[in-house]
Amino acid sequence: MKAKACLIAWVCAALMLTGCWSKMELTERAFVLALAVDKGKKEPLEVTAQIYRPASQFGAPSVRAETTSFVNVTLEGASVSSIIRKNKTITGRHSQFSHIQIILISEELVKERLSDILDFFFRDPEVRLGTSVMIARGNARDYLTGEAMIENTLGSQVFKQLNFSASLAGRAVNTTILDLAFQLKSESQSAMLPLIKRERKFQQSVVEGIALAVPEKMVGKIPANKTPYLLLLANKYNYGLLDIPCGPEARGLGETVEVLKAYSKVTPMLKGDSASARIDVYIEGSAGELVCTSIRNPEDEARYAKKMTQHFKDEMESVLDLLQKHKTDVLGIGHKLYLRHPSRWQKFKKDWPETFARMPIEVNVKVHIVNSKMMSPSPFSKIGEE
Amino acid sequence: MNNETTQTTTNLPISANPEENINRLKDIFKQCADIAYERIAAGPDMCCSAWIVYCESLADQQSASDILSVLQKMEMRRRGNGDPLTTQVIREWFDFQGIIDRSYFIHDTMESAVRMVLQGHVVFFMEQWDHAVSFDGLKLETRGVEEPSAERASIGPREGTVENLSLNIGMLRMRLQTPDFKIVKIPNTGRRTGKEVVYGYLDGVVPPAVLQEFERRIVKVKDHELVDTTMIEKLIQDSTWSPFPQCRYTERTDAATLALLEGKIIVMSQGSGVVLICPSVLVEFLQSIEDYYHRRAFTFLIRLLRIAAFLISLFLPSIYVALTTFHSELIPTVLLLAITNTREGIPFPAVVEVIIMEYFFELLREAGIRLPQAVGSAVSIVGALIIGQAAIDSGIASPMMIVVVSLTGIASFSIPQYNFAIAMRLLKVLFILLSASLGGFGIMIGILLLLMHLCALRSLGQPYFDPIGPFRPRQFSLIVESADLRKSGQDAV
Repeated sequence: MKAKACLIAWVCAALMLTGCWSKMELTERAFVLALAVDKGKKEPLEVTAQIYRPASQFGAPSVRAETTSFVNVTLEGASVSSIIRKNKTITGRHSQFSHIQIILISEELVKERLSDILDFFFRDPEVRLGTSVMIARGNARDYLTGEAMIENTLGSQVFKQLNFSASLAGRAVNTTILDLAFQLKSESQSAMLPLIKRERKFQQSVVEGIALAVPEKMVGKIPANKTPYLLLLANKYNYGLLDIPCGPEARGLGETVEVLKAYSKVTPMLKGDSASARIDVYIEGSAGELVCTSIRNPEDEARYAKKMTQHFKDEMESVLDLLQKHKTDVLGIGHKLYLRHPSRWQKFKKDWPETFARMPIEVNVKVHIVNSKMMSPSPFSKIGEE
Repeated sequence: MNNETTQTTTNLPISANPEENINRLKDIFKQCADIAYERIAAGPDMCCSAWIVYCESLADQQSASDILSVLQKMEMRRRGNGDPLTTQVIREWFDFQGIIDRSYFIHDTMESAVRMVLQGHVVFFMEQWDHAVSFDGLKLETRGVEEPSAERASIGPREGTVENLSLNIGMLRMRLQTPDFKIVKIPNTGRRTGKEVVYGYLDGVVPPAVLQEFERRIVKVKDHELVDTTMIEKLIQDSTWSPFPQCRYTERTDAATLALLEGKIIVMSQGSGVVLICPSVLVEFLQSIEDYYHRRAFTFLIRLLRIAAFLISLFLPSIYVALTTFHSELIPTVLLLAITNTREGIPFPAVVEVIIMEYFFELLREAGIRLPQAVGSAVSIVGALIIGQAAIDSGIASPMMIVVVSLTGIASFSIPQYNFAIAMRLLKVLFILLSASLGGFGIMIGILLLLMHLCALRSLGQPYFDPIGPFRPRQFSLIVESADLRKSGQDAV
């Protein structure tokens, strides 16, 4: 009985002790929603943290509505972690990194260094490996200042833009810290990163295009109009519209095809000392908008599909040319080769970028039109006319 | 002091002289104004006389007059035969023929005569006979059979038990027309409350070991004062300190019948409509009588709902505290931002906030039970204001906390057995304290301790956490379905 009483007393006392875990009320934490990493003016780095500012429940609603729901804290320093730890001297709250939605890095900085900036994010236990990384043209900080279009904070606005651009428009790729680590650590040693830029004319940010990077730095860019084809080749295309120009006589008009399903398969081949690759791309789509084609019967449809196939193939080959020019094997051909022939890979490994730049890559495109709406002619479409 | 004198006198046998008996009874019932003594006689020369004793507040006056007809019959026989009434004749008459058109009991000790008076019987003492005769004259008003208000069901019989034991047994007997349905009376010597206690079981269905264990424990009941059947639980339960009830209760005859069919033992007592069902295991506390009446798919869903309610009422406040003070990284971003908005400006830490709001809630619940219905509604209006808008506006609690606390409350209401919901309320507080000091780690410690306790707990020797405690995957259907009555009793064989 005495032992039991003793035990209970000890347990109760133990509950009162402070532990080494992070007990902290929500009102003592500052939630960082986005980070922008720029090149500093005096110091090597300038990091901007977007912190959520909770709207208090008290006070008149009119007062509440005027304040923005985030604040930006910018600090300069030698390393990301040292800057980030200094944050609390400004905010008066403990910065919590678990809810960072996006990390923006300025193009200027990435052209100089990449891996070592990201090292902190790999190591820090609070930052999720599922956080997206994006390259910002110009100052990364600028994308976090101003007013958010729809979302509460600019951080989540940019994150949503990236997400939908990647999944429903096919104009960007969503690369998380973990994806980046895998890509840069793979035998191919090159990665794709999404790009954000500001359109001067309309004063709005657009997420489109892909940056090509090797572990040390960013080496090139794929423009927005070629991005879908790179995604198709990399088997990362989910859904979107692909443009097909009508031809020189049609005053720059274009048609679209709605891609419902697309997948690709990269097959590396090794013959003696020469490497080559074949990429099979299968696209299933329906006619989105027809301007200069008329489809009346299955033969027309086949012709239409053939035209598309040729156009897609041309575009993909031009994308491959760009990749080979920048010597970035973002399709992971080298890695696949390594998985198939681990022993023979050692020979290629050393100057793989050079080999990749020279190797022949064959592209096979197959387009399947599942729905050209032939059976339901409508007054505006050229399907089923006459 | 008084008790001792009563004890000594009641042990006396009944004398052949009625006056002597009456004097003794008057001695026993000293200062009991509601005991009536009457001398009645019949016949032309009033030779056939008797003393009747009854409790005015219990027995019917009409019953007393019935005795007069008994005496008249005796008188007629005496005159017809010409024999004088001897002890022998009276005894034979009562033993073999019966002279009253209702059932009667013959007593040979003062003690049983006294008890009969107190149970509303009319007791009468004949001349020249050292026995007393009593018959039931109870006229006490009782409630009619109606639907039990504590256990409403949308479908099924509306019949509920009442405070009259024999009526309750009768209602059960109507539902179980088999000689296997045993009703055993427990002798109640030595108790002032003098309630008749019976237990029933279905022979061949109830596991013999359980019945044996139950009979060993229920013997204790004769030394305990009982006001309600619920008090019997304390005598037969396995663990006194466990927050979990080891017996369940019903006021529905159909629920009691189903319990019997499942091999349970029921206990009932005179003057209480509550039927105690034992042994009970954890999953049975989550079942409602309706589960047997609805379609299987619906029962399945409702069970899942109740299991969720069980977990919510136990863990929700503690999980909220743990998540907001220790593991904010586990909350999805948008929800987290919403919570930080509601928490901003609250002066208390989350744990203090949750304890304050739980306290408010328990206070309201307690006040609502005690007050009369007319005032009770005022409490709920004020309560809704305090626990709702006013608490938020004054900055004591955050809206999210109101949601958590009220959801916990509603979840505990949806547990069909009230005594089980009480266990949830007790444990909830412990879990809040654990999570406030150690976060999710504390909750895990609590869950482990709880599981250890549940696995060790027994109800009449049966494992309480069955079918999870002794891991019996084939019996898992018991968790989400009503029991298959065709299979009941297989354990017994």
